[in-house]
Amino acid sequence: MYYYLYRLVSAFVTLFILSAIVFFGTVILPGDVGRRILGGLASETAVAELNRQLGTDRPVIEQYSSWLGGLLHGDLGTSFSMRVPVGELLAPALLNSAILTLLILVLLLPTAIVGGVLAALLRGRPGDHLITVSAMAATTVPDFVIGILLLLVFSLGLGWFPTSATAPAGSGFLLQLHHLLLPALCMVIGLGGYVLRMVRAGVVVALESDYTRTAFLKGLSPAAVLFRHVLRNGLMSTVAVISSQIGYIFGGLVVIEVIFNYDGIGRLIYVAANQKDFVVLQTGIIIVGSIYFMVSILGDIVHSALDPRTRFKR
Amino acid sequence: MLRLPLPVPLKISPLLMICGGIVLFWAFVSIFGEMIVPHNPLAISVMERLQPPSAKHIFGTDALGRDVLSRVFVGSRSVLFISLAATTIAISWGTIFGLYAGYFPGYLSDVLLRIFEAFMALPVVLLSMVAVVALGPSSITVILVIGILFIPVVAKTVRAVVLGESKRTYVAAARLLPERPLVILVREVLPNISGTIVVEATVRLGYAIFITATLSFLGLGVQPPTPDWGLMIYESFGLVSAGIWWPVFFPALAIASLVISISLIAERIFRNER
Amino acid sequence: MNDEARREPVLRVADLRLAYRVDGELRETIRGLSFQVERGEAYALVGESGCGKSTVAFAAVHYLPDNTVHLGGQILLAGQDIRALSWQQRRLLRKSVVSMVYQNAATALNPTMRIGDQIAEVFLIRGFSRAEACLGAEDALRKVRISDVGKVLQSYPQQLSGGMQQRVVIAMAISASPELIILDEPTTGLDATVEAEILELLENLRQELKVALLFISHNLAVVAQLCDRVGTLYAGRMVEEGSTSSLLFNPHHPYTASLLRCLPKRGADKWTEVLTTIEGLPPKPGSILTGCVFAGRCTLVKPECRKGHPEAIVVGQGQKSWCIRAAEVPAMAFERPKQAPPADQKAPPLPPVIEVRNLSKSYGHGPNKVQILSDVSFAIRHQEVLGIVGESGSGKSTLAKVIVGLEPADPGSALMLMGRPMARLLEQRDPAQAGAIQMVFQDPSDSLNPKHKVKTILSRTATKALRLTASDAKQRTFEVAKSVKLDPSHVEYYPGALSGGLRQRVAIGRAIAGKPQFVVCDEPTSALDVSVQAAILNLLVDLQRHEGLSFIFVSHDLDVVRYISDRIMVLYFGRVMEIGPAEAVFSGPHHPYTEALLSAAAHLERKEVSKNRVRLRGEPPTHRFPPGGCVFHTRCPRKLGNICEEKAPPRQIGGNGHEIACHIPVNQLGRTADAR
Repeated sequence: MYYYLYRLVSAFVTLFILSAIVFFGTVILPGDVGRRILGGLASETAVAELNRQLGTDRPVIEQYSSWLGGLLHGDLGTSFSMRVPVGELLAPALLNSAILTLLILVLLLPTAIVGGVLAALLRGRPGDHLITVSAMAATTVPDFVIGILLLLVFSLGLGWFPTSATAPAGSGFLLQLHHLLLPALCMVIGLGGYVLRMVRAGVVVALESDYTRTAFLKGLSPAAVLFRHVLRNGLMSTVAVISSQIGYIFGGLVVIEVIFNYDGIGRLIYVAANQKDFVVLQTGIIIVGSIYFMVSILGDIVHSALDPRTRFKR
Repeated sequence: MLRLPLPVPLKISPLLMICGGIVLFWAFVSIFGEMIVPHNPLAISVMERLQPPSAKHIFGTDALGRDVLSRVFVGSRSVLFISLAATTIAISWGTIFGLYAGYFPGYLSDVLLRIFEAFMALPVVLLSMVAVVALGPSSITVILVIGILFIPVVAKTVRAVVLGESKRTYVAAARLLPERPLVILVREVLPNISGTIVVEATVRLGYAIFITATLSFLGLGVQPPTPDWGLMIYESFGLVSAGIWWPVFFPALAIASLVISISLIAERIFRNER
Repeated sequence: MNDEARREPVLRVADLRLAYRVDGELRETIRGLSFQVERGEAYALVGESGCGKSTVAFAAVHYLPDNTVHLGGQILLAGQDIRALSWQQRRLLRKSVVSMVYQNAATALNPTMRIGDQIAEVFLIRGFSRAEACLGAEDALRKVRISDVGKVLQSYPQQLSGGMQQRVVIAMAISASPELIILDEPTTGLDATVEAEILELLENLRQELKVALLFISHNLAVVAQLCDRVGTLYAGRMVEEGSTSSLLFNPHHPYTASLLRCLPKRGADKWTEVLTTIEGLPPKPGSILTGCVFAGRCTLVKPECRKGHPEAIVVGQGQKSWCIRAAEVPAMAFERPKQAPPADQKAPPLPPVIEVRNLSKSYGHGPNKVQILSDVSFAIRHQEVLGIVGESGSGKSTLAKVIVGLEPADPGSALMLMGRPMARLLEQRDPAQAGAIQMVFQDPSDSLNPKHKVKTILSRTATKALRLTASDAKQRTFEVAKSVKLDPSHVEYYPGALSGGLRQRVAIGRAIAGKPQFVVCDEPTSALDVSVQAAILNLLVDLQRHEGLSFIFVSHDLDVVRYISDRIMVLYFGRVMEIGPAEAVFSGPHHPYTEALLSAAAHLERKEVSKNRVRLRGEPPTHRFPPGGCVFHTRCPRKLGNICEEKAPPRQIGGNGHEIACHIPVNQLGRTADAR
């Protein structure tokens, strides 16, 4: 219990540091915000007027504290470029990204686990090499390259999937799923390779452990050894691994949402960055950071609930 | 019986040979680029816009009539240069910070770790996007941003092995001699973690290429008209829906071949280390 | 099962030859091994590491690594050829004919499954109902003398102590109602008092259940207590076999004889007996051996020993030796040990080399504070060896680290070197003082930097500590190599290329290269085979005599400590129970804890362990809830009453600086009958 309190507090501290990095990183460096938004040709007075409206004529520390104070009170600020409350932009984008992420996980977990367990069982044999080498390859190829290749083959070449992830308004569930499948697949390949290798590593440790030997020498059938002894221990660590990969998912979402033209948090941040809309950018990133910490703490809690080893340390 | 201090020679498998060959190939074309490509990668030719692959233009031409093959070959330069430079920054500083935080636990190390953790809470793609927007896109920016963002990752890895090594009793024996802490770090600990650093450098190089290409693809890296794989895809991506696949497909293939080769080599070195 | 099968031995190994395939080449590890275990018999296989004894154990249940290659021979388990069976038939054998007990109980149990479920599983696969399985698990735990059955059933393995974990593994093994239990080093790594309990339990279970045991061990003393017959294994071959008493007291093979004489005898010390060592190294797996496997290291070797494997010679009732000179072995074995020269003339009185007063060490703060060491005081004179004994958790290794300053003692602790106070932390001592104390660690593969050559390691110390020039340091390197009995060629090697014994010599060489005033040896022989241990002990005695070295020798092995030490300190739960001259501590009167330790320690000269053993109650205390008064009161067999719980015991000073911390008057404290 004490441990989770500590985790929570340290997450807040880390988020605070993060907010400072992001805020000062975007605001302080090249000086004038209004000038950057309006461009070099705008008049001095227009720039000054914009800065006054945005509050960016105030001292940076004051800007930072009012932004941070707003965040703590649930006021996410107003977008520079779109002139709407950031919350109104973020909420639907987050929902869309959550739907995509859910689909990714639903597809990814079974494949990665089955593949990882299979590779572990075949360890050292050609089948294992085939699986692990492909997984390794899939992890390291940038998501946008996977996305482009999938798009070229399955949308343009074979015509099986639409090129955009956004289904026409009022589409049914299946149609929406059809639109989302290709972008999801893109992430499943990239992240799946990573999770697969983690699953394999965990299961190999369990397979080669003394307790697995004990189970075999009790006279248990191979299936009973696998399901009752090996998987229970071997997959335990995967839970923590998956929750820590939520950050990676966000990184991938930026690219995928851009390629497949999907209105999620990734694309929102990308557009905000291009339009130099700092409030959306900073707030979006803090939200992403908070989600990262929440999920990784949640992953820890689930992990320790499942794993008695973390509960009793002699 | 005599054991050499060199790492055990790598077992060369056919796969490893292919990967090594691909990496060497890209290194070669990135150095000799313009001298060996059939066309000037910057030469615009309105007459030859969007030619599909043919005998003259094996990879076809892009929207400005530039030869895709020549651009892909010469385009290896920016990505390799940026990622190598970024990796160098990350490995050197990451090693220094990692050695420090691993061997001198205390207040300063805790602060360092907390800052590293903050950096690592966000995907590198996202953070570098913010940084590049703030600083303005250029090769130097990308090098600095990736280099700096990878420092925490390298430092954490190095710190973990240093922590492990410093619990070993050969370090205790050196303390008893008594050796000064800096001497212990450099003379005793560093040789024992060099393998980890080599593996980490290779893995980082792969990811640096990953991020460099991604930033270029988002229009935040190398700027036109420099030939660059990510940028080429960014420029021609809009044409894909019209069925024009070659200006996008070949650079994508080039990226995939390079990162896969590097990471498989990294994997092999890693397995060898253990 | 028919009558014919009943007459079959429960395990018969016939001319077994096994090899491991490594990098495409076959490395033979079992080179034609035959033996059998009769029904109800306890048979021991003994030998040093690498002789193939664990391979035999796992071959018997057909659980071997994938790269094992069967070269010939067979294994008959309850009359059935284990290799000829299908895997289902093998499962049947594992379910009800053979079960195993492993060296490391902590890892042999599934960490995510409750003890009750793990034991019940054995009953479930034998076709019992869930209710019957639960009752069976309870009953099995009772059979292994676990008192709090209900609680243990609900526990996870990591909540139990090492001894309890091993009991659970044994409970699991007997739940199969097997005809044979294979025990692979079941007490290695356990404390002596726990080991004695496990051995006693096994002895009782054997009588109750009439089960046969195949006991694999490197420890002859442990085997002596439990087994009917013993086979000595060397390089994958049987070299001698016979009944326990005849083989251990009348060995007829040079290897068995040498192994026995490597061990310090109960009560023996360094001035009366030089330990026998076995020169050289065992043959590597896969090396081609045409003659007797031991020929390369045998002192009786003759040219004909190298021609063909020797045939078995019957040397007594049921005792066989595979040595052509078996008849000459008893003479060799009973040759009087070389009388070690007595100690040098006592040096003029100097201040103690090291003096420690009121030393304490704790970790953590506030409610998390744990006190590892409390109020430890002692002094070590010039050229003196202080042995520190204690079981795991006694704080003996922490004490070693605190003295050398690797970890700082608590404020208020006083440490003095040659009468001058020292800072508590190494880095705060002045360099001369820091360099004057060196340490030898338990595991030489960890304490030598694998990336430095031996000569670099030795000369670096010489240059740093003695401020030598490069050429003088080189000179010193060879000097040191010579005094730790390393071959001059060894200095060009990396530690990884040396055997464990040679590495430990390098580590000792490094410790003495800078001519320190004092060396702390923390379990320096615990990771080594007994023959190598003997060589290291001889070396340390040599250094004490010829180089005037004073040192602390930390160990859990009583006989080793008795052999090497001039004085002995007994630690329990971070407190000094007793300190005094080695002879006095052993012969008594001693502290009740020392008495329990002495009576628990397995040794060759005593077979019946269970008769007069001093038993400790309960489990060791935890640092979170330290006992008040005398820390030993929770387990003390001679607890007086409330005074032990409330008042810290006085340090009773006997003759010759023998101090005992106990409320019982010295003249009423016990003496262990068989300790000399």
